[in-house]
Amino acid sequence: MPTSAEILWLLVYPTIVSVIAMAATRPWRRRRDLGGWGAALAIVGTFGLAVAHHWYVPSFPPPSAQGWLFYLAAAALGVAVLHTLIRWDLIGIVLSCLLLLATPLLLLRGQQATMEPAAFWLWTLGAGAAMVLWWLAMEPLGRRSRGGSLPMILALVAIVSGLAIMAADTQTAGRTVAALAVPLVVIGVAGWWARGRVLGRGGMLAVALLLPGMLLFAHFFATGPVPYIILLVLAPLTAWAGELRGLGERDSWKRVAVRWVVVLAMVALPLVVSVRGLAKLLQEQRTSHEYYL
Amino acid sequence: MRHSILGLVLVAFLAAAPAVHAADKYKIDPEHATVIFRIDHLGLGDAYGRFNDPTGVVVLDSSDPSKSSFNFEVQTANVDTHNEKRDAHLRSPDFFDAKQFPVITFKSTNVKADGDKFQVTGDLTMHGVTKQITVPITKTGEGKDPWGGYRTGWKATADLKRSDFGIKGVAGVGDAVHLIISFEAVKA
Repeated sequence: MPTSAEILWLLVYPTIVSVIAMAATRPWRRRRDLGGWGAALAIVGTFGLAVAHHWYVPSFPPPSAQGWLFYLAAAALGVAVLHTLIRWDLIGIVLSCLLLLATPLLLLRGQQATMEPAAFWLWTLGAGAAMVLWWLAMEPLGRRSRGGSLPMILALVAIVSGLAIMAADTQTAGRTVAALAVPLVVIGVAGWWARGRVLGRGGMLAVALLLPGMLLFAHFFATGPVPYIILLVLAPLTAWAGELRGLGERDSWKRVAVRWVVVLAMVALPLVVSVRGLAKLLQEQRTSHEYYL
Repeated sequence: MRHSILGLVLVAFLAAAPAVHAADKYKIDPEHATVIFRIDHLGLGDAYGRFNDPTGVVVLDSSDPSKSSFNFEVQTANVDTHNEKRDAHLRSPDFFDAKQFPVITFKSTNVKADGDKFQVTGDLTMHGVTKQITVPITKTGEGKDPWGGYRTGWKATADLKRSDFGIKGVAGVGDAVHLIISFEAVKA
């Protein structure tokens, strides 16, 4: 069961930060797009709170991968602010790509001594390229879809990712990822209310950095199972299924339903396995000397 | 003439050499070294664990003990609480984060001796954080072993807060850690 401190740091404070961030983008102006720095601030702020709660605010340069993610998330917020203010797409896109490309290199730099040089560079450059491609694929979806369905889908993926990491023996990293669902739900509600686009020019960059970034962290430093990590990284991309031709107008209920069905199908296996794993763990803690902690 | 002077200097140096006492270097014997930790569990009782196979080097300067040094190292992956699942959890990023921080080291920076009792100040590095601590270390004995070596025995205790080293862990585990260390070191 979560403690009162965990409820405060992973639920209450993120909700307050997210509401303030989204309110700052003036959602009461109907049919106004809320994309940009507001969504990025909500997501990055929540991640910062979770890292501070679980591991402390890291020194600079940080000694750990999660510490690097903390500072990279701050940089992503900076890019989002710049992208929102200057509205010159090329600069925002180039900075976002550079940031994502550098992420695995910084996360895994401490592993260079223990990995074969070829494997290290294959991993860092390969994962960096994958993160860039992930963002390049999702950013247009964030800019074209109105309302709350896309943030809600990402919130679902964040929760399932968190459960998968928790079931793989790392409560702190799992809860940090799951906490990202809080700002995404708030962003989704704001999107529904404003009926605008909410994740373009900043919000999707923060998601692209933190969701695949934390799954990469789970693979290397926890015992996150690779097949589930791949499914969870790919799941948001399948939301593009809602953009197929012949499904009616943009953002119609049919398109939203298709998105949800496809993404749910992608996360179903990791969800079921993780829930069963956690249930088994709780059972062991209650009934057996095999509990840990 | 020049050769004579050089010869005299060389003779004087060689004559003086035996009087210079070199410090003795000892390697810690992992088979006879124990690092035990005690930590509060749920506020109800104590949980004990150990780090297997610690290594290190002790340099003892009997003529000037302040020039002695104590360097100690344990692998975080070697944590052992007699419960495989708990050990896996302790190696995870929730606690020691063993893949990112595979080693805990102690390197002495200052040694004060009073007979067999030493006050050793040094840098303890754990979880990517380095803090200075002072550890009372006592020499428990020395002598020849049955295998032809010469060894010394030591014991120490220390108290730390894991939060000082950025290890917050999860609820239910105490912050204060009591360490009980005992080791033998063989002359290299």
